[in-house]
Amino acid sequence: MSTTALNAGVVGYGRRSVRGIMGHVMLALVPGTIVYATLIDYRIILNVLVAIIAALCVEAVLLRLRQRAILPLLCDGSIVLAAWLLALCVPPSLPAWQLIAGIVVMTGLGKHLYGGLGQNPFNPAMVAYAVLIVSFPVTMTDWQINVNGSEAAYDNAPTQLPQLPEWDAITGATPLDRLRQARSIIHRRTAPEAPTQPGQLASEPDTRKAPGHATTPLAEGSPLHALRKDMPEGPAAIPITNPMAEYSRFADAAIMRSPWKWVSLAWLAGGIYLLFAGIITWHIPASVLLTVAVLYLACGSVGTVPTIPLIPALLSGALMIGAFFIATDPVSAATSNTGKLIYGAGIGVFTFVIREYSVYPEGVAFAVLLMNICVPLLDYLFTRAVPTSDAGRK
Amino acid sequence: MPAETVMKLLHHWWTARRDEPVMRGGLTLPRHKPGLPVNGEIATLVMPDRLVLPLLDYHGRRLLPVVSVGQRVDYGESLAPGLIASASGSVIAIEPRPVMHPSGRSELCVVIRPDENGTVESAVHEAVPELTEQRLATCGVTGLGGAGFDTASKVHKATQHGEQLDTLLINAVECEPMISCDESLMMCHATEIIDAIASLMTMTHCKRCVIAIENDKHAAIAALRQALDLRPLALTLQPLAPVYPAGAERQLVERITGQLLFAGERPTHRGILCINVATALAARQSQLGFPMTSRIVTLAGRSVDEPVNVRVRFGTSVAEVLRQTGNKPSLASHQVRTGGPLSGFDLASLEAPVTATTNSIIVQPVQPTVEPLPCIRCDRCSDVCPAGLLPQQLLWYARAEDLAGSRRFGLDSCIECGCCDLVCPSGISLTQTFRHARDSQREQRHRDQLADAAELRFHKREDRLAQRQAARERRRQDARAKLIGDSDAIGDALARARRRRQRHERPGQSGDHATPSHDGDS
Ligand code: SF4
Ligand code: SF4
Repeated sequence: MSTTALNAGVVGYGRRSVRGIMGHVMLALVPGTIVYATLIDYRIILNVLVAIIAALCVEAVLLRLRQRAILPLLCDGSIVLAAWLLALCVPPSLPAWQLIAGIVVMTGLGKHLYGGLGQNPFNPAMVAYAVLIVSFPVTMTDWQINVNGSEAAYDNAPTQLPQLPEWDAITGATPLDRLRQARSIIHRRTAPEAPTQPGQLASEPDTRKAPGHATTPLAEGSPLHALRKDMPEGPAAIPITNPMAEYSRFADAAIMRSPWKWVSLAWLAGGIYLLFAGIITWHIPASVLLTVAVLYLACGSVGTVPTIPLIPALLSGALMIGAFFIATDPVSAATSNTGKLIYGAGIGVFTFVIREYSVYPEGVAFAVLLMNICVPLLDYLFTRAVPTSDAGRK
Repeated sequence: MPAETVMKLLHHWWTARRDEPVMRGGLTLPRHKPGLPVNGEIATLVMPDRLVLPLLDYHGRRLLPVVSVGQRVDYGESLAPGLIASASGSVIAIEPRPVMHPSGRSELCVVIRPDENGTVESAVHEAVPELTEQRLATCGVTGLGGAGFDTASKVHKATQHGEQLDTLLINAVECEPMISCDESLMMCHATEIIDAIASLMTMTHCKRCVIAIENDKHAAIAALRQALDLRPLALTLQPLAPVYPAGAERQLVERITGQLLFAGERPTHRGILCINVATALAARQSQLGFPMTSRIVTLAGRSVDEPVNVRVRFGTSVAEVLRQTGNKPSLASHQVRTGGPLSGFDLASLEAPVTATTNSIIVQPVQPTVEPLPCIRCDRCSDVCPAGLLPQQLLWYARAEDLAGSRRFGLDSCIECGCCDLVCPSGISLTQTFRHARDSQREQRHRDQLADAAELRFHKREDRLAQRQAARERRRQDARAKLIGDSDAIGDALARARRRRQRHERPGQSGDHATPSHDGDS
């Protein structure tokens, strides 16, 4: 007896194969990768290629060792996609051997240790990322970026917060790295100076201390300013230099003026394509982004924590690629719709917490891994009730 | 959960907006409905030289033949309870022959050689003014939809079941792609179908009737409407958006009435009698005195040059049908599937005879087998499952043959529709696994029943033995009591005798032999 599965073609139903799905995801990654390469660092292309080739080789070897059919499994595209995502997540300046080590970890530890495609409880790319950032903390956080073809060193920490140079002068850390430094500076500087001049900032937020930069037309004209002003600054504590608003504005400028936002927008575009192509469902990205947004808004309104305004928060770091491409990896995500929502919300919460309260500037990878641990529980708790079970029989 | 609630609200809104009941899950497939009659005629075949009628009922239980080899049978005569001779002729054998089964197994069949002039078919019974269960049974009317239930007992059970039947649901939804036998029937016999519905409503005392039909069967709908104009009936013609598997009974009931059936529950428990449109017509024919001896079969597929709907007499082999319609596939290069391209199965032998459930014969070139990839947990299968199951989770339990787990995940509710297979990007044969699991579950249940019966027998025997033992014990006690009583009497007598002897001074004699030396064992 042959299987029903074969008859998809007979009835003219265009079934989507695993390869097709992975292909769509890769297609959706293309614009982001191109934007990344043109605006940030062209070496990303090399990294992606190196990662993919290495991944294919490692995968082939491992399949051979596990005595599986090499070609069909190699062609399913999952390993290529994972390698691509890993290459996008690590700094472009990462030494190739470290990247390859990451690929080996990804394929071996992240995937085949658990039995290959479909069996891995953790997102392989994120496993590799975590291993890399723990093993090579220096290179993994050193975003030496090659802008306009010239190797530019990571610029010195901003001593005066609002003095935010234009992007092409920064050529250093990602916005989140800069924010982290800014935060520590705020911390250092505001600690001794007790609140002495309350209210000064709230009245004229844009002109204080940084007439030349904070009111650049780019920032001024954008709706972000309006948005930021709308944000309640907190009734109680408006300390001297209002570090919250300071930080907030700095964050806004740092993120919105860096080309990274275009990369994020490109990921968003790719993600929307995936949504419309029916490759992913809205549940995970929506809940990730919504949770992060709510948390940043809440923090902003509490007014005691330095925080990033909403839109920059969403466009910063790996949030977009994480929400649309990494968290939605079906193998390691929850399956039921409610489970997906909770899974996404968990990723949002962990991302926020790790970003704001840990030593790592970006938390998407760890958030995804942490929530991967919860997936069996989520699947167990939120599997859709089977309505036609015997339990309900009268 | 809130998201689910929102989705449900949206769903309801959408439903209300479209003014058509929407079903859960399912797939919208390309609609080819090949072989529709263009001139309002359904093709027929010439009488084959052998008719093979399997001695099986719809449960797959064997039937006891009431005819013997060499006997002459008449058209419409009963061969076994529920089995009707589809032509007059002589029984030339009762022997195992391949039947319509995925495994191609052989079962006992009655083989008839039809008479030369066996094609003459007239009413074999008197027409009755009102349809009865009795008549349905004598004419061998069984469901022509999917399961092939015995219609008489279906109606019987429905009327038996305390609650009054309320709705007659005529299933004219032919949701499988490539099958158009019911559609052609409706195009050609709309008036008779309306009559049939009227008879069935009188018989079952249903107050309401709904004909569920897919909204793209324009010709059939038009024909039915025209027939309804001629004979107005209190019925609703409910057009439905074509979704596979809308025609599955539970799904249809759910969609039309909004009532969710539990596993194992029949629509009749809710006062709904679901009858396939072709079955309804067969019931009407039985009222007029014609036994049910043929059905319409759609012949289609990529290897069939001219798709056609053809009336096939039960017992005609698939090979014969193919030959007479000018197709010569071999199983080496073609796969021949019956029961529908999605929920059917491939035949292992072309000698298998057409039965009431053979709605189609689909011939395709053999397709290359594709090694399935592992499940990537994409959850597409749950989205399309019309029973609202989680096929990928169920798969784990079904593969592990964990029956308790499978049942928890709704194996009993799986209708084996194949939707999950169709969407699975990894190409996993989920449906086949579920089918196997259900088979083994059925087997398990059967074994359990046997075991239960054996246990019962054992306990009965134990009881019986215990009773016997107790009775024996009682008797022994009685006997002993009696014996003790007796021995006292004997002892007394002996004592008396001894005294007498002593009195008479006669020493040397001892009559102690009569003293009980053993317990009275009975
Ligand atoms: S075959 Fe069973 S599990 Fe699969 S979609 Fe149909 S009802 Fe659901
Ligand atoms: S459709 Fe196939 S791959 Fe996707 S979850 Fe279901 S069984 Fe797994």
